[in-house]
Amino acid sequence: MEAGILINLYEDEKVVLVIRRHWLAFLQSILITLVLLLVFVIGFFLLYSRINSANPALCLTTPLITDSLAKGALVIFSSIYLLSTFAFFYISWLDYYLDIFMITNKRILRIEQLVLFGQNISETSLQHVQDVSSKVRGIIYTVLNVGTVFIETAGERANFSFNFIKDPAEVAAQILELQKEMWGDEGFKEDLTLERKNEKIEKMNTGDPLRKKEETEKARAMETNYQGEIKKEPHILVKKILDIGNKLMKTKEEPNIPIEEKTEPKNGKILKQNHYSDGRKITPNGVIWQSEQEISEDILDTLNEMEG
Amino acid sequence: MSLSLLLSIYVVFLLIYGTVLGFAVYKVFMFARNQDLKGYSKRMTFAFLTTVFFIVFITFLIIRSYDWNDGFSFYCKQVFPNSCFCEISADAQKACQEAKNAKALQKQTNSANINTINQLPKT
Repeated sequence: MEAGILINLYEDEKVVLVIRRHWLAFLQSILITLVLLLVFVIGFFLLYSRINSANPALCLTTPLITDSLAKGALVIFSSIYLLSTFAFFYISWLDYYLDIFMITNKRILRIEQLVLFGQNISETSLQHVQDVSSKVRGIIYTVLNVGTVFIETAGERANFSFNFIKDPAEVAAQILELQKEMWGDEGFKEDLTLERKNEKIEKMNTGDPLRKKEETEKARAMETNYQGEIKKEPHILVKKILDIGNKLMKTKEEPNIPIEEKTEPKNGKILKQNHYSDGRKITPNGVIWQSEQEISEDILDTLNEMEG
Repeated sequence: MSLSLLLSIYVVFLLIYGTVLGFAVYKVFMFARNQDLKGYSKRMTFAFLTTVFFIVFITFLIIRSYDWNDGFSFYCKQVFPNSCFCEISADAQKACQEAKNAKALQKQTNSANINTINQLPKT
């Protein structure tokens, strides 16, 4: 965007309509300015007559404030008052004139001037427009055909409303016509917001083509994931934890049933041993886990070899 | 002649006014650079600037004919008529002090003369 130019159009984008608010919106400021000027004229002549007044009760001059000084002060304060009045008028006009409702063949823009040191630019693409309606209310508004255009947008996007618009019904019809044309155009299928995001990423990654490509792909993937078109693969650690959990659930579901029951005679006594499905072995001396059993078998083998 | 308080206020006002409105005018001219948004903004701005310059010019033209005796030293002297600190410049303060001393000396001389005259034998 060049300095000072408020909007940045796409390559194949064309401005169809630029609408400003009707002068009725500015009428209030005009009236206030006229009242202020009238107050000035009355006040100036009143004060000037009191400076030259022969009546000492009304006269504004004192030994400290001479006649010349009083007149000079009146001129200076009049000048300040007049300059402030015209500044008010100009800033009000600026506020009115820089509020713009712009329709292009791709989107709707609203540039809102906030007094002197603020600006609000909101936009929506024509494909997000769900409904357009207009309203004209009041005698003056009906006579001048001035009203409000409402634009409802899809999802959580903010709705648009433009007041003090000349021929609101005509504007609403024009928006709907443009939307119809856009849907008829087969070449236009991309989401404008996504397009803009990609443009930004490309701008950020200038100079590193590999990184640029990666970032663009990542942004696109994230966007599509967000929209629910592709589901992301879970992380490898999450996968492992899920596997362990599944195994545990499985073991819980299957009860530990003794799969083998042995009775071994030892020192003339019959000892019972139970083998379970999880590898446990319960002996009269206590529980022996599978890992312990393996170790003890290895130790026994080693001992046997040594004895042999 | 000391600096007029009213004129100082006016000059400060003009400086602030010029800065704020200068920014507004700059904004309008930048806005008018966009071909799609061109309108009567430049004409309006020129009309406004002409009015402002005309008011300021007329004001300066009128106020030249008045006596601006509303400086700090003027009001200070009204409140403290016998003191010299109301003079702004060092030279004026020095001159004031010298004049004050001379006046005191004159007064002293006068009273001495009166005493001498009183002491003379009456004829």
